[in-house]
Amino acid sequence: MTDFLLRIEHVHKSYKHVKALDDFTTELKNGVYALLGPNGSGKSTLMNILTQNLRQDEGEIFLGGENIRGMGKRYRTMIGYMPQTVDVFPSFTLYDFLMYMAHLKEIDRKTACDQIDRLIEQVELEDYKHRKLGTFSGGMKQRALLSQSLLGNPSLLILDEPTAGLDPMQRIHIKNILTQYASNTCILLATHIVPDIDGLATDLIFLKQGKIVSQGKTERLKKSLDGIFWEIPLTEDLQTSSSAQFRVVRYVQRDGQTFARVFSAEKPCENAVSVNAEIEDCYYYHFEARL
Amino acid sequence: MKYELKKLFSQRFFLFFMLLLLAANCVLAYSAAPSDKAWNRALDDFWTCYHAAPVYFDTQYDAYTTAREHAISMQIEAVLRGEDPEKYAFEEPRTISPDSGYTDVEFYNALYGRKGYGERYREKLDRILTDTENSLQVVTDPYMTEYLHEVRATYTAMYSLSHSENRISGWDAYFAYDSMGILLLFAVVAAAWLFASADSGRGTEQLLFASTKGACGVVRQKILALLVFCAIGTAVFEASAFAMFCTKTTFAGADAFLASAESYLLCPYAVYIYEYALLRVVIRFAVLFSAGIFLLFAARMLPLVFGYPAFFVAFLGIQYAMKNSQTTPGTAYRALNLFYMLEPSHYFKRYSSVDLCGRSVPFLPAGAVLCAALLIVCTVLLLFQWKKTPKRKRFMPKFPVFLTYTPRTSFGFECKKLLISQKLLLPLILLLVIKAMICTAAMQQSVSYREQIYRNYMLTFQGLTIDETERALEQEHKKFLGLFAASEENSQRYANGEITYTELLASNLKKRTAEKKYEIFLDVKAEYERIQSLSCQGINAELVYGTGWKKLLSGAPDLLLLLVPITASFAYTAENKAKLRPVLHATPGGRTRMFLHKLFICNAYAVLWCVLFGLADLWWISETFTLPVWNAASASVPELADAIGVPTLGGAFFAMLAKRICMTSILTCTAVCIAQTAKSFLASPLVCFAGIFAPHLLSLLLGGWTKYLSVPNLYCFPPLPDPKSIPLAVFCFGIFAVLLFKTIRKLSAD
Repeated sequence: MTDFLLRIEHVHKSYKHVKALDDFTTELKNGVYALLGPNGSGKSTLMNILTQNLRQDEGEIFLGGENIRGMGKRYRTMIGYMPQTVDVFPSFTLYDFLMYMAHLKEIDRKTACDQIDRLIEQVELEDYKHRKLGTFSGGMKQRALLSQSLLGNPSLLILDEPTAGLDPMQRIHIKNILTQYASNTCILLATHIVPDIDGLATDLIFLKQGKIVSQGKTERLKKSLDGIFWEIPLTEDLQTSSSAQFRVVRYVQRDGQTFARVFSAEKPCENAVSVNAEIEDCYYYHFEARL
Repeated sequence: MKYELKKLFSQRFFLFFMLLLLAANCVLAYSAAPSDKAWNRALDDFWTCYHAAPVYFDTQYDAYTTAREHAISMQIEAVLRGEDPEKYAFEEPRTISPDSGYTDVEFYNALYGRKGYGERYREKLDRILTDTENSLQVVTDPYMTEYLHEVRATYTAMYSLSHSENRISGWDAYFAYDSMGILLLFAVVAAAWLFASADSGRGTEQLLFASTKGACGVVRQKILALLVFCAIGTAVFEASAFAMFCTKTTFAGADAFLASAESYLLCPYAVYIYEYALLRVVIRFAVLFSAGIFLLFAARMLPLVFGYPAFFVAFLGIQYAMKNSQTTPGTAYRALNLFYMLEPSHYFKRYSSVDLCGRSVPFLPAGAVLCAALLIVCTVLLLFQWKKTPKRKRFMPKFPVFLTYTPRTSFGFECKKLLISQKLLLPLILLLVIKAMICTAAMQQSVSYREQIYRNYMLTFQGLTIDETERALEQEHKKFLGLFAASEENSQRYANGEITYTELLASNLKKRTAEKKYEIFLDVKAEYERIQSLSCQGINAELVYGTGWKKLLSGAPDLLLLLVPITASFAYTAENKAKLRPVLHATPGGRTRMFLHKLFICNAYAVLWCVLFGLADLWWISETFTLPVWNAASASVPELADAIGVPTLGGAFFAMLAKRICMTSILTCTAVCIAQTAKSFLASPLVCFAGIFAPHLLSLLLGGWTKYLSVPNLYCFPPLPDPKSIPLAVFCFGIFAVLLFKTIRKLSAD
């Protein structure tokens, strides 16, 4: 297994007067990269550039030292892409759809058949193999799309909100599938559902207005925020005034008591207990607390 | 209801569209409104006619009756006196009997030079005057003489009026008047579509249907909103046109002009101004509202691009059914204004939105009945099928075998996608059925008198050697000349008292029949002489059957083959709708390879339709024509035919098929390219534009042979003679406008 290395260098992309990506530079290796940011931060633009559906205004992208612009088909053979919820071809059966995608990915028929059977089994859609996609529920469509992105064992898997609209079991299921592939695939995953990447993402990229706000290994980023998040048990007098007194990240219910998870550089009150930062806290820190 | 209207008017592009239509309406009305000067001139002309002809049609009939009654009384008196009553026998003046009198509409057409009428009726007037003069020379009866003098005065006035240069431009008024109807129809189409699709967002409809008002309440509100829209639209359009009219003319002239009760036919604006205005507005409103309701339901069930043609196809289908259900043509037949199957111009002129929204008074029964019928059908479908059938299956043809088959190649997948996404497959199939119906009707068509004569000539002359043909033509010519000379001689003999007046009339009748035949003979002779001159230049050509097809085939379904490239561009619909293109483009074969495969499949699909239509043509030709050669090709591009000579029937057929395939393929490639490079929904209007207007522009700019590059010429088999025919363009333009509208909507949504 060769080491995968995708280098994105100084990529700029603007839509009229809006900067979607502003001097975006990073390196992607095998592992799960979670792309986090509010709406309009440039996540989808980056994905579209990586899938060559958009062309950057400036900057280059190199795969193993070779500019992807000149690689054409060779590059696209190595990628798998799953966009946000789409309707797929309603009149195609799941098998048709995957077979069609296999054709487009130029996978020979025999290999395609094997892979399709395996993937359908992985995403637990065996019973729906010959059902039309138009009859699929949102979750089933997501799984169908995920399976198509995994066709051909891509080295770079680009997933745009793969768990949107799924029930908890399906989200766990997709998470498990991705974990299986994480060791030898570079997975770039954009999502708004932060808990979904907890335990999955090896790296986090925080994107704001097209710029990287922060980037690094998940654990390191979480550790770097230790000591600034606190939990305060809510007493009666604090019930109503907590949000005014502290910068509350969220409220947590535990053992019949409500705790306010607050952000503060210093201990906010006597009974506040320091807690380890989670990914959601990181998100809060980068997009709210810094404001 | 006001929320429904808000949904409609809150869309800026729709407001823009309405303003555009309104502006067009004003411009057309203003440009066509006659000035005071024109009114005065028209008034002068009218009074000239009016005073010169105190006896009009009624008086004419009175005079005729009086003369006949007088003759009968004279005969009775003669019998009583013991004389021969035959001496006083009433001699029927052939050309001016009440049956040959013009109707008001014909008179109007004659005066205002309506397309195809003016010349013909002026000729007719001319002939009547000549006949009257001749009759005056031979008739001795004083009552009859007086009657003929009156008739002469009437027709002289009509004749001078028909040749007057001071006429109001009938065509201008006609065009503006019709355009208003069409513009309004477009507005209603757009509104109906928006009313139907405003709630099409994911889950929106379910949300609304789950409200207290429920589905019925929501639909009722939409219908009410449409009603209000139609009422406001009609009022605004009429008022703006009227305002434009007022800016150009004061009513002094118009009032005087309209004072005559029977003069309203002389100008369509009469309908505008006085008591007919309200009637017209009400009728227009009713027709538009009916159309809107139909489209509202059609658009709910089908895509608009389908709904609009379906609207017309349904009309034509019902008209056709009505025609077939009529055992004897009569008042009902005329009132319903039935399917004039075999003449494309009539075919469209009578059933297009023009008639339904413009001169709709005589056609109201047809419009109302049809709309009501369609409404009932739609409602029934809606009630019984709508809720039970999944959305994607509604009205769509099923391909159970095809759907279960998983293609083995990319070609197969593209083909499957194309056919599955064929929203317009059904209209195309319908078109093919209509085409087959037309071909069948053409086979059953009884040949007209003129056609019969021509056919007989061609059967006689074709296949003869050059010398034989020449001799036969010469012989026939001599026969005619002899007949005419005999007629002249008989006139002389009558004047000398050698023959009776009845014998003279019989001779004249023979001459008249011969004259009809002679005209056709001269055409044939002229064609022969043209061929002879070509032969002298070394070009091999022969006398061929050169008419009949104009009446035997309607080019309409052929024209609508334009739908094929449009539907081909839908090969991208599924992936575009699903926003799947980025995924496909991210695959190695999802770009060039997929595009080439699509291009190939779409062209194959287009060719298939051309061949299917060609087979229908071939079936008709093989069943109908017994003549060995046919000049369809020479009719389509005469210069080409002159250069390469006349092909055989098979050759002509394949040439036309090739031409049609080329045209379709070019447009298909354009559509697919546009759909690939831009967005698929852009392809349809651009292809329509390219197909309809680009050839006209090209011929305007380059002239010469490019004038044959029109859609009717390239698509229709045989090619249509008048590529600029307004009624034909109206239909195509209608589709174009709808697609354009859809595009604007899409663009604004994006």
